[in-house]
Amino acid sequence: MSPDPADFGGRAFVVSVTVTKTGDHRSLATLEGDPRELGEDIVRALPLTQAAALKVGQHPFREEVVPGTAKGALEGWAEAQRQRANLDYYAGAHPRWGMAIDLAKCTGCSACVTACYAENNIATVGEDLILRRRQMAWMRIERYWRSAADGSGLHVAVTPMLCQQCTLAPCEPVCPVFAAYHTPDGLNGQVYNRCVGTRYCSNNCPYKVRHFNWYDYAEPGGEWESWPDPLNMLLNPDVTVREKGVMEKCTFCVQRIRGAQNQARLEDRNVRDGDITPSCAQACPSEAIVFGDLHDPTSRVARLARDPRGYHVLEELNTQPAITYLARVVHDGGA
Amino acid sequence: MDRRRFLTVLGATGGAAAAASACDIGPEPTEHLVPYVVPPENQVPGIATYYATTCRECAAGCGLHAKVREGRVIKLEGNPESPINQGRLCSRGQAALQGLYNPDRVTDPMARGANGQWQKLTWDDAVGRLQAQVKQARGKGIAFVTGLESGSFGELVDAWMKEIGGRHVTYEPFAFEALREGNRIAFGTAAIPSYDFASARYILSFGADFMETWLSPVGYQNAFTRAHAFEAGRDGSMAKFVYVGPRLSLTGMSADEWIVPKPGTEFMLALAMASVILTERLAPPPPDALRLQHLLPGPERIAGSVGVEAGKIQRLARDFAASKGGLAVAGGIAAQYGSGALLVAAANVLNYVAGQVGKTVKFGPNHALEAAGSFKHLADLVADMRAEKISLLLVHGANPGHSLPAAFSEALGHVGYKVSLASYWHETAAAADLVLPDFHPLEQWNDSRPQAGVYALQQPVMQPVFPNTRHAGDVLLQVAGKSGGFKDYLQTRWRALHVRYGHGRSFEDFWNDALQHGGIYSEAPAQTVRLGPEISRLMGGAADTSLQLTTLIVFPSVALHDGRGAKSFPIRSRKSPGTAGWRCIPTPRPSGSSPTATSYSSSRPMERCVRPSGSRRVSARTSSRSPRGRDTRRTADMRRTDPSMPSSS
Repeated sequence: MSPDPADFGGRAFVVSVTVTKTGDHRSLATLEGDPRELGEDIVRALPLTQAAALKVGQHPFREEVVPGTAKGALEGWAEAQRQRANLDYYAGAHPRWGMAIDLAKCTGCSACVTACYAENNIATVGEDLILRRRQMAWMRIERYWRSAADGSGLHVAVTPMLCQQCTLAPCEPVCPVFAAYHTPDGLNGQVYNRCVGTRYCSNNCPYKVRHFNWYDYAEPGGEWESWPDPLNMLLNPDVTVREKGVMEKCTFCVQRIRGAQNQARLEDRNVRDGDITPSCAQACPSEAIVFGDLHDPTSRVARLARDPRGYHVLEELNTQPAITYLARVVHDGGA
Repeated sequence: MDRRRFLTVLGATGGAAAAASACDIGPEPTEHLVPYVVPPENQVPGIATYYATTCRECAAGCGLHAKVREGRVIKLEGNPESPINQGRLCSRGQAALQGLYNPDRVTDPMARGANGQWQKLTWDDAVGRLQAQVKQARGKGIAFVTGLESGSFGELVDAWMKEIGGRHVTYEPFAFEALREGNRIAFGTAAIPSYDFASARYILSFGADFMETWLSPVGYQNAFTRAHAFEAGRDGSMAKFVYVGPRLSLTGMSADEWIVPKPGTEFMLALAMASVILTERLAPPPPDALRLQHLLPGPERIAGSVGVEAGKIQRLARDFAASKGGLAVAGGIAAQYGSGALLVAAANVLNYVAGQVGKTVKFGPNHALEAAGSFKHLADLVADMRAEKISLLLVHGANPGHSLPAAFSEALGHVGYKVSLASYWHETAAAADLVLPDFHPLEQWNDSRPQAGVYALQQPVMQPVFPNTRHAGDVLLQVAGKSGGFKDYLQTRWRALHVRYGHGRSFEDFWNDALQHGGIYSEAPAQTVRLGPEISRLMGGAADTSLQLTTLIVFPSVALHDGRGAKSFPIRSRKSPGTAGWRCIPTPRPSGSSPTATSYSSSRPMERCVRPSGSRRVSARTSSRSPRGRDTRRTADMRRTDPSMPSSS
């Protein structure tokens, strides 16, 4: 590159080069193509004409997961479960926190990922541990290359992946110490003080969104310290700093949920739709993420959850996630 | 952080930063260790306080809300009132706190002694030395390099330089010279217009990464989504987005179609599209554009050089015109060929013949970067430095030692005295004779004009993290022998705005109101532009400039920007979707140059991304590994490990 300015007074950042092999090999610390990613078919897409023709109530992606013969038995079982679960403070009407992510808006810019780091005191692990796949980000952007139906073109589909806060969460029943538990408002809670680090929950999570603290990232002056003094001053006092041997995961920014609930109680009112915005939704430059109470049929998120484009990731597992993805819409002939 | 310091910050901030509008924040820290005996005003333990300020991580100038808990700022959110970013914030903005609390901040004034060792100074001593140097250097060449300062600080530097006979050079590594020059060629104005992505129906980007580093990425991404999202029942529903460029960037990943012309020939594609629109009369042609009809190359003529079939070019042109909302943007940093200005001019012609200038391309609310200096100005300065025509060089808010070719670092050796007003130990600071620790943008008073009509204010959202740092503005005023601090200077400037926007309120009310909202947001009047005289001459000379051999295109990283993002851990831990490497070399340093200064980033784990491979630091890093393979410098700050850096703390 020439050190002299180009005709227009700026720098030309382009140069003709020749490439030679050096024989040097090094690992690239990249999060692209992470084994945690699930495969291309978690990003659904609809051609524009098809999407525009969808009527309210249609659900092209809804899969009949239960064969007709088993339906009665399963419903009976679910009812029995519900009755058994309606104990103590689980009884009565609770909100069901949910999220809708519009993949027609998501650009993959990863502002949500950084916002999540900042809000939730997530440790940064450094290059060596990234190479060993020990990143702690509760949220990740998955990127899939694809081509159009006729094999032409190179297209990209991106999707944010975070804890799906399942109704029937596979992580919960496997925890031997009840660290992974279900809150009355439908969150998959994680009690860090109970966790003994068996990692069964992570093994059982089909979405691979739980992250284990292999080292003590918060120990002042420690080997793996993530917030060397005075960076520790930016830690959010509303969120715990996790220690070694503990599993952690997305909480739907439970500190913001509880904060809004407390505020509503002080003002002697109910929580209104829009009172609670998780960090990822607040940052998103595309406004692709919407959060709210799924039990309130008038809430924005409940309306979006009923959208014909809506689908759940790995719906066939019957985990009943709280996150509804709205399918990408592509111009006809795209992918 | 020790307990004492924690409490100091706690106690000090309560009174000062919390009462953001009313209190003056002096450089001296308050030394009360019992914070809540007298409860600080505006602050309840456990309840966050929010202050409006402005993000300075790039030149876009997004509005911020800083969340402050117990005197510490802990989170940044977008300011919903700001017309720049509509309450949204990108990764770099989110991570700005990592810069504020960075262990590599400069904590005390430092000077290089006779033996080359750094020594700590008192502020009186430091200011005295600078005053003496200014006196000595008068008439022998004084230069002040700053980043883009579109507000009062820039005016202060201008005024001071005028007074002492120096020159003020503003330097942004991404100053969009090609964009400005291209607009000047096409329309006779070097302004950077406002691009209305939200109302565009067909978006064509010639290498402009408008969701990453191009002008105002947050606002543009927000607007782009409004146009490109699917909304059931909306007429026409989704805008179409075509990306033209050699590399599928993050921006290009959202495209419906990706077109890969031969590098350096993009401008021909734009001209050919304009030619199709004109000859087929796809849009009512502006009268002054008709003269171009015979000058523009047709698609058949250039298809071979560009590497895109003529039929495809015709289709693109027809779709562009038929959408009645076409918007072509070009000449981002990612497409800075030697023909960069030509490309921008060509995209302008395309917008113009399609009748979109004035609709999706609006001159009037122009971007602040039009006032930035150019690389040429800096190259001239470097030449003067080398010729020993500069005896005193001051640098603030820029790190040319890192982002410029090695010629700059070499030329530094010919400058009599170098002063760096820096927040971090970066290359330029490390090569200076005197380093004056500056406030982080979140600790200081300042203002900027990110867009015509938008006056954005910055206020300190907390007490300085390092008590012995000072606002560069305060230091300059003191050196210049002026009374009052920079806040007074700023307010004096805002009295003029008070006359225009005060609507009869007292200045106090006006000022507090502006602080609360993050500034003043007004509409700039639209300007009409016509094709300039140079355009036809240029079309005639449109030659085949495609590059030979393998082409290396250095692109700016969405995460690291011009390298300044490297100080943030989360920024380095986020991936850049679509790129094979986690962190490619983001900064345009020519390979093979040997940096003379030591980078603050070199003490960090991922230096490979900041440095071209093969520089000596990579090998140094390998040798610093412990037997367990751990990088011992991962968390250690550089002062402990790098003998060339001062041990100041």
